[in-house]
Amino acid sequence: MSDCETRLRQVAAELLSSGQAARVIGYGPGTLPERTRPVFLTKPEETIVLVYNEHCRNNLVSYLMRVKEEGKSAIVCRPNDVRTLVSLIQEQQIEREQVHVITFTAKNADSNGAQDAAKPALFDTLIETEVEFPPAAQAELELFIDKPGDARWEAFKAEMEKCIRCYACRNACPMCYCSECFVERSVPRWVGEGSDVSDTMVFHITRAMHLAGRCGECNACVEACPMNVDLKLINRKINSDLLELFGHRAGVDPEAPAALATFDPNDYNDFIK
Amino acid sequence: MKDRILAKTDLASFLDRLLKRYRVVAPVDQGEYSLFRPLQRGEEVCLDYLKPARSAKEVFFPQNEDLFYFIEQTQKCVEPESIEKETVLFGVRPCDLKGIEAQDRLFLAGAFQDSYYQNRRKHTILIGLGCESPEASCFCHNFDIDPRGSTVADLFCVPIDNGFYYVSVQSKQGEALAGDLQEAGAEHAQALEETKRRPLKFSAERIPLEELPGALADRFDDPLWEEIAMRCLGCSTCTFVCPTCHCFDITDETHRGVGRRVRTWDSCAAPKFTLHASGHNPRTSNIQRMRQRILHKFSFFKDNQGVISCTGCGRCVAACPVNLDIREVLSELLATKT
Repeated sequence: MSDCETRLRQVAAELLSSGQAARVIGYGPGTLPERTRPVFLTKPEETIVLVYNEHCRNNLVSYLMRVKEEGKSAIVCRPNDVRTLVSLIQEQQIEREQVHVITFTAKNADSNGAQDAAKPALFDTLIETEVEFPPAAQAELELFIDKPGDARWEAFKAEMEKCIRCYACRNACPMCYCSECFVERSVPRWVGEGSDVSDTMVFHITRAMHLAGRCGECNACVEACPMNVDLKLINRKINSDLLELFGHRAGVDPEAPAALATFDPNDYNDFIK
Repeated sequence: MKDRILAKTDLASFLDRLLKRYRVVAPVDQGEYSLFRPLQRGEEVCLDYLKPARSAKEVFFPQNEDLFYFIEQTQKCVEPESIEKETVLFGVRPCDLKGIEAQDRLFLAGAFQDSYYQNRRKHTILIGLGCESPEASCFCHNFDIDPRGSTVADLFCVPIDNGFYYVSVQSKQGEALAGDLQEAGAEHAQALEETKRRPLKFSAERIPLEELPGALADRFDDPLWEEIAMRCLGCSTCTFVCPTCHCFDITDETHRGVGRRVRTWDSCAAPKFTLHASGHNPRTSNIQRMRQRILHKFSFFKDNQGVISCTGCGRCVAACPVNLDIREVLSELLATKT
């Protein structure tokens, strides 16, 4: 057990025993090798199961939206998960006072930090750790972008053909919280059911546009997908466009207004001819 | 019908010979997993993964199936094209063969036969493949399954020593496929017996599933269901990778005067699965859907079709994004029964 896990369990147990938090949402050991799973703890002695390692997939922030009971929720966040929490607070889906954020910082943080800058935008407890969740190589994204139009479409289509429309990506994403998703509406039917690739593309393109300016690159969608569809490509491409056009990155600054929900007279308008 | 042997190194050429007469579907590498796909050449077969990421059910019950077409101009309905060529489905593990058996009961037995399933099923010859060792997610030992044999297949290949498969010929159709293979001798039969005697190590204890109907009967309102459903995301992953799950939806798709009625996979885990035309939905919570899923697969299906709707293949365990483990769920339900 690592130092960071010892500290994590200590903090979680204190939060529960002092009554500061009514529950802890964290990661526990999985039932298969190299797996962890979301755990929901209410008693201090249960915190012994908490782990934090490179096998922590799932963004636990989405579980915050399910909590119906009173009392603060302490939540274990990987660094990019915090970005999604910031966005949800900005979108008024979660109240800041309702959460105690436990997150992590690299032991030897540098300015190019793999974990998106040394200090997360939001935290109540910050624990030092050697566990890293490096972002996908920029080179991979550039390969996709540098392809000419037709080849990029073919690369995108090849990923889409793997998709079986299980919606694990959507359900794992904290930013997808619509009570009725557009794919569930049948009158009118926006998207066909089944895995026809044309319908599948409509689903993923539309979802990516709904996430534009909101995706925190937590990777939960990629990790959830049973068919290893590379959803990073399209989301990161849109995110990089948003950075270029609006100077905006979702969830890194709690004070920064949402790019696509705010009018700023300085917004680019080159497209107006 | 004489049993045969096939050297593992001759597998690709055996499949090539079959390709001259049949459409051959087998596990094909997709990069990080394999899937059942039609072969162009025998060498495309990939047995690097214990089993394909999705079950064999999609060969008979595809995710998208056009039921018929309708033309506005002529006001006529058009049937889909009939199957021209026989298919050989190679490399089906006993868990997936058991899944086919369960789906046969659902789609074929009884007063009404599903003609779409029937059509694909009767034009397919099955070649099963025995397992050498289970994965961490495997739990077929709970379901009266022999990882090294199954009577559902027309041919069944068990890996024996010295790089061979022992090929049990179990039907006339199987015999037609295997006629050019070397006959098995006494030493091969003995090697088979030795192989079958070797114990297989599963990662979890056997679950007393026969006690399950009794355990479930009184537990409909038990708060344990909330705990079980807590981490579930409500996606359809478990349903879609499962060899026995079979729920579907039917919709009409129209485009410029031509329409088709299409059947697609659906899942009881999806929020709108039970939405009525009236607007009423009897299962609005994740807890209700999870409870229904377990009860259907492990109790109601057994009542209706005579077998549990699970074969212990473990794909749901491996694929679930939140590691919701059905083995654990069943053990919990049994452990605290009143």
